[in-house]
Formats: sequence, C-alpha cells, structure tokens
Amino acid sequence: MRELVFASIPVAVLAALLQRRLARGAVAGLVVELEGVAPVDLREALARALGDPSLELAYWVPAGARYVDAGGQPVALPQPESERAATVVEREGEPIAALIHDPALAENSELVQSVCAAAALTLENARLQAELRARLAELQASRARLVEATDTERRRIERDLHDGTQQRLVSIAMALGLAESKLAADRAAVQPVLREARDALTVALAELRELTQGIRPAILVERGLAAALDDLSRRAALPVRLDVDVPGRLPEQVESAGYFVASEALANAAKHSHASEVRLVASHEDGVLVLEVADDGIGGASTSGGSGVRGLADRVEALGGRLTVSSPPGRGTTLRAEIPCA
Amino acid sequence: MRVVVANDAVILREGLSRLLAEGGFDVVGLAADAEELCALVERTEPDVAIVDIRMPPTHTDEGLRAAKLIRARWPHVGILVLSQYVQARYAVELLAAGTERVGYMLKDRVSDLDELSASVRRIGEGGSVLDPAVVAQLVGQRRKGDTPLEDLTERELEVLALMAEGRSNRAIAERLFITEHTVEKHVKNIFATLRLPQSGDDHRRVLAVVTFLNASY
Repeated sequence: MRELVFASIPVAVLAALLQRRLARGAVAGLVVELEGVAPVDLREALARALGDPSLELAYWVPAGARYVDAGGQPVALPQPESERAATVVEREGEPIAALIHDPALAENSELVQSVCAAAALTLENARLQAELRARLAELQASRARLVEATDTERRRIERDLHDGTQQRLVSIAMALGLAESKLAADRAAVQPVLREARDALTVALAELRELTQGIRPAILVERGLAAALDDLSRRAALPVRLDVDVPGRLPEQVESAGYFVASEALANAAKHSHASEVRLVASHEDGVLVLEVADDGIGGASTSGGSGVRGLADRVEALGGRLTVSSPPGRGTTLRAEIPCA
Repeated sequence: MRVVVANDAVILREGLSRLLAEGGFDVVGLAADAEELCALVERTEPDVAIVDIRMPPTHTDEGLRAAKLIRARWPHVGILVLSQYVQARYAVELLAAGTERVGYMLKDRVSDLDELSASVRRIGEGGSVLDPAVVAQLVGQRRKGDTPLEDLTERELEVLALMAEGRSNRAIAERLFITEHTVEKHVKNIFATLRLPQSGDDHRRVLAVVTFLNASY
C-alpha cells in the first residue's frame, strides 16, 4: 500500500499542476460572471467554478449565531467526518457564509480559497438578503406563536370560567330556587340551603378574584410595575432580593411585559433552579426598562428552547426589546430583558 | 315521573337531583359522562334524561351527541339538554331529529323550580321545550334579513315565539291572558303569512316554526 502511494507521487504532482491551471480558468470565469450585469444564480456559478454540482450555500446570521439558506431557513453545517464538508468564508475576520460541498473538494483547497476570495463580496450581499429573509421568517414565526399563545390563554380562561365559576353560580341559583320552594312549607329547612348558597358564593367570588388576578394583577393596574414587582417578590416561593428603581408609571404594555417576564422567571427559578435565593433588579435607563432575574441555582437551563422562554422572548421582542438568558452549569441562571418604553 | 341526571360537575348533579326531588320527581340515577348516561338509560329506562351538553372526555358537545343516540335507541325516553350558552344551532340539531320528548334549556333557567318542573313534565308527556333565549336568538337572526316575519304583528310574533318554545295553545293563552280561540286565530294567521302548511299537531308545528326561523342560518 505504502509503496503504491510513493509510486503515485509524480502523478499527484502532475494532477496538482493541472488542477491549478484549471482552477485559474475557473476563477477567472467566475469573476467575469459575478461582475457582469446579468443577475447570477450564485450557487450555480460557484458550483460550476468548483466543479461540484452538489454545492450548497449557507449564510451566517450573527444575531442568531447560526447559518441559513438563501430563503432564510436554518441550515446545519455538516459534522466533521460526515459525507459532506464545509468551508467557511470569512471577511474581515467575520464569517459570511459556508460552502457545503463534496469532501473530495477539500483536497483542492487552493481552488476553494480562490473561488471564495473572488466571490466574497457577492456572498456578503447574498448574506444580507438571506439574513433579512431569516429575520422575516423569525418575525412571522413569533407572530404566529403570539397568536397561538393568546388563543391558548383564552381557552384556559374560558375553561376556568365554565368549569368553575359558572357551575358554581348555577348551583347557587339552584340552591336559592330550592330555598324558595321550601319557604312556604318547611321554613326550618331553608336555613342550611341558604348557608350553602352563601358559601358557594364566597368560593365563586374567590375563584373570580384569582382568575382576574391571573389575567392582570390589580396591583399592576392600580399602582404600576414597582409595586407589582414588590408584591410578586413577597408572594414568590423563593426568597427574593429586590432592587427596583423605575419611575411611577411606564407605558401599560411595558409594565405588563415586565411583570410577565419577572413572574415567569421567578416561577421557573422556583421550579427548576434549586436556588436558595433570587435577585430581581429593575431599572429604567435611557428610556429602556431593564429587568434582570438572577438565581444562585444549578444553572444549565436551556437558553434558547423551552416554550416558556420562547414565549417571554416573543413578548419582549414584540415591543422591540431583547431577552437573553445565561445559564452556565453550576453558576445560576440569569434572565435579562430590555424593553424600550417609547 | 322517573328522571336521570347527567352532568360532570358534582355540585350541579347533586343540586339538580335535590331540586328535581323537591319538584316531585323520582330521580333514579346520576351519571358523570355520556357513557355512564347511556348505561344508566339502558338500565333504568327513565321518562326523562336531563343532560349537560358539555361533558368529558372532550368537553365539547358530548351531551348533545348522547342525546341524539338516546333518541335513536330509546325513543320513549325524553331528553332535556342543558347548556351554559345560547346556541340555537344545537337546539335546531336536536329538534331536527324529532320534536317529541325533547328540550333544550339554558342552565340558568333551572333556578326556577316551577319552570324546571313544568319543562321536564312537558317533555315526559311527549312535548318539546325550547329555551326562550334560543327562540329569541332565532327570531333575532331571522329578522335581520328581508323576511315575512316583518309582516307579523307584535302579538303574532309573541305567539310565534311561544309556539317555538313548545307551548300548547292553552299555555300560550294563559301566558298572554287571551282566550284559546284568539290564540288559534293568531296561529292561523302566522302560518298563512309565513306560508307554512297548517297543522293541528303540536309537534309538527314546533318543527315547522323552528325550521322556518332557522332557515336564514
């Protein structure tokens, strides 16, 4: 085997020389094509220049730290040792795109490098377009998720009302009907029935109160975010260190979103973090509400996935804000939301 | 009169049962869902089954589907469907399978024991009951368009609504403080104006009126 390799060296050299000439021709053709006036199918042009019809392009989206195709859909780069190989194209130290190609092409790195260099500017333009499409797709997806979340919430409220309060009110009406009927013949029997109706009414009122609190806490409506966060931290399952410095009232949507984020983050911390304490910081800087919920728990929470975090991010992003989660294993979880108040 | 009650909420099941007992009915069984109800009906063959429209497992319209099933398999068992919402469509579906021994009533209505007792009795005796709120919804929908209802007098509209509720001429006469003879005259006029075939039969006339009202759906 070894001997065979040695024997083939002169052939390999020959092949390399040949390839270099071919490569020069291919790159020259590519440059002419890319600088021409006619719109170019970039993938086709690169596939031709590289001699790899299976070539795929993936564009770098820095915001999501991921690759997408020309349509903005996420693309995973092939794993090393897999049936495909990837070459990342960089510009000023930043990735622009990745070529996903036949691994055989890696042997001809000079050609690949030349083609990448020649196409860098065009790739950068294509990347901007792909990034825009990716953002649009993300926007549409988040809008759909918001609609779905609203629907789910409405279903939950309807069910809570139907199964709880409405049934209880009907039972009260029935008890009163029964009391009315007994009044003439058996006055003594009326009292326990009335008592029952009154008890049921008390429960129905409590249920309604809880439900309306869940929809929008009265304290938030009446006193604003600072008071509501104070209230929230007192009722939280974990001890909360509170550091709130926000003006009396912020726009209603900002207050709601801020409260929602804090409330979900505290609930998550109580459920998953094994933390002993949570720090809740809210401040208002340059027209932006900054809310940070940090626990001292086990960390390692999923920072992107999880419908809970996704829902929070959707809500914050819908207001033009940003939500980040950092959760290194063993060093607690910090959730930070920045919500512009304009 | 022997009745059974099907409702997934214990408080309503028990409450209704007490109320019906107070009204002089013999409550022979309680069921928590449609499946239990059918078994119960098969075992006890009651005069009337009082069924909540929304029950497990899907909490949509199990009660209505069970009602249709019971009507098909045990036609001599009366059905009163109770609903939290005014849903004319469901009422019409229920009546479309026949207007004998059937009723659709809002849950709120059950606090009036006299009304509840009268309704259950009417169904047990072969009649029909349609909640006034459902009738009002049907009449309201129908009146939005260009319709011969516009040609009815206010009094005739009142009589029409009471007919749709499943009331007999005598009951209508009592309700409106007029003679039965006057009611008959109104009914004749209504059927002529709406171009509906005359019928002495109470069941067929309920169906005719409800079908007419529902036609604009």
